[in-house]
Amino acid sequence: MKTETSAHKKNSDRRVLVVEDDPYTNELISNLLATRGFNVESVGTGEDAVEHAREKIPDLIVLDLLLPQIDGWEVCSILRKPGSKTTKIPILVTSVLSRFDTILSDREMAHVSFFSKPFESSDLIAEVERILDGR
Amino acid sequence: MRSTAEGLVTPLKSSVLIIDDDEGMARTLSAILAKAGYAVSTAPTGRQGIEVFKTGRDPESLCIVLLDIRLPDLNGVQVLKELKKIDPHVGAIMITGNADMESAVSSLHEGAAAYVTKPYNIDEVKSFIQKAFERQQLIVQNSLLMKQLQNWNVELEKTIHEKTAELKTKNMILLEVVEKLKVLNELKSRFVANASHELQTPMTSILGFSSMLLDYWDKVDHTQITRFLQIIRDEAQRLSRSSRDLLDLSRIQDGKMQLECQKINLKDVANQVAENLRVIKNTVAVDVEFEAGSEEIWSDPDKIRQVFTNLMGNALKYSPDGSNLRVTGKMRGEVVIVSILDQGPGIPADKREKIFEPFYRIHDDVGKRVRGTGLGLSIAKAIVEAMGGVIRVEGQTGKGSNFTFALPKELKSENGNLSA
Repeated sequence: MKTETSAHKKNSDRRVLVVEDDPYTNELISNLLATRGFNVESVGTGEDAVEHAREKIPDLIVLDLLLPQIDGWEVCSILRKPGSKTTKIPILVTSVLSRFDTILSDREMAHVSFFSKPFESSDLIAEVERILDGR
Repeated sequence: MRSTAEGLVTPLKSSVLIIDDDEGMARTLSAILAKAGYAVSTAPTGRQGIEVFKTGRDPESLCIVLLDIRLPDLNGVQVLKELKKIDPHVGAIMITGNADMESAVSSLHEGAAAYVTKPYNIDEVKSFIQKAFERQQLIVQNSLLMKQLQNWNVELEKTIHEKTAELKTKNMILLEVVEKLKVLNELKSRFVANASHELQTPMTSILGFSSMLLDYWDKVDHTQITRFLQIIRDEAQRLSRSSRDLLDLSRIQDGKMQLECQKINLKDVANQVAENLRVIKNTVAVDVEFEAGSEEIWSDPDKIRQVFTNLMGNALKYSPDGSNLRVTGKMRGEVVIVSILDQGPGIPADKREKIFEPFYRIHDDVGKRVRGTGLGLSIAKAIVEAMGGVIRVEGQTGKGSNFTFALPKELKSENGNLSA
């Protein structure tokens, strides 16, 4: 109980951006992270994700791959452009695709990790905290 | 003459043409040669000799010309040149006097087989004629062989040409088949990926929300619990719909759909479907109008209802509140044409084919709010086509869509797996 409270306190300072076009999945991830104490904001498109990330520099972006128009890979590519403030934001890519085939370069893939959907709530939390704790 | 060419050559008769102005000499020679078995003809001048060689000759026979080098009209070498124009391989033996040595040699250059000097020994002449015949025969056989060879070559070339063309055609057909298979394979892969995405997305919500309820039961309030359970139920229903639609679509596309044939009133079907859809959306007015005679058709009631449900449901989803949805029917010969006209955002021209593809969605503001299985239009199209009909969509962006399908007035067995 004590550790959880301290985790909550720590998590409340951590701002996470959830990018999901499926409204229920968006609600799920946002709710799950909020319940765990994170400071969560969410958007439904790649365009909004880029705008939000540039403006607010979140501590982590949970990014769906299959988005309308600008997809998850393009969002990664845009955020990793040399010189931009968003190059070091960790990105957790989530997808129902079983393979994460990408044509992105190492630079564009820096600080990017993967997480498959569907998932157990505790697994997602564990992964998010692992990234934010720098483990 | 025992050569491989022998079989190709019909036995040739041997004839001799004597061109000589000394008629006594010609007559004597003629008699001797006739006795020796040759068919002999004579000509007293060069021009007559050429004429006889041209027209009076048996084309089936080999002809040797005994040619006097001194003739009243033309000289022997000139005559030889003319004869060569008629037959380049003409066998000629020149008859010369002692003073004609030079002409005799030049006649050899012109292709004469031999020359004899007057007064000549008759046996020598016979022997020359015999040799000339042998030479002629060789030439004829050789040219026949050449011709045969050329024919073979032409045939070979023709065969090679035909086979090459055949191979090219086969190759093109194969390439086309490969391309088609590639496209099919790509479509299949895309379909599987899309189907997987369509099943995994509700699964994500179901698994995520249920595990969240279990893991954080003491941290979620009553409102949240209700909301999460509602989502789980919605998504389970969506999953069930998706898997049922997938199964339907694959059965129809595999030609395994069983069709029944009954008398159906299309206007009643449209009105009933409109009534059922009011549960989903009751802010759109639905008008149903069928021309006289277009209402009744003989077809499969369940499948017809499904087509109306999918098309009208799709139109309703995209219809703004307070708008109209018109369903009209008309008869054209043995075909009923049904139109479903909405006042929604419409479909851009380049997307009109695509919207009938499984899982295709136009991503616009309305599209994001619309949660279907992505298979409704594909299923409607598959059913209409299985019944021998056609379906298409018209209309402009911003001016609504017009889904039109045509169905045979009476379902025929060749249009589907008609049972009973």
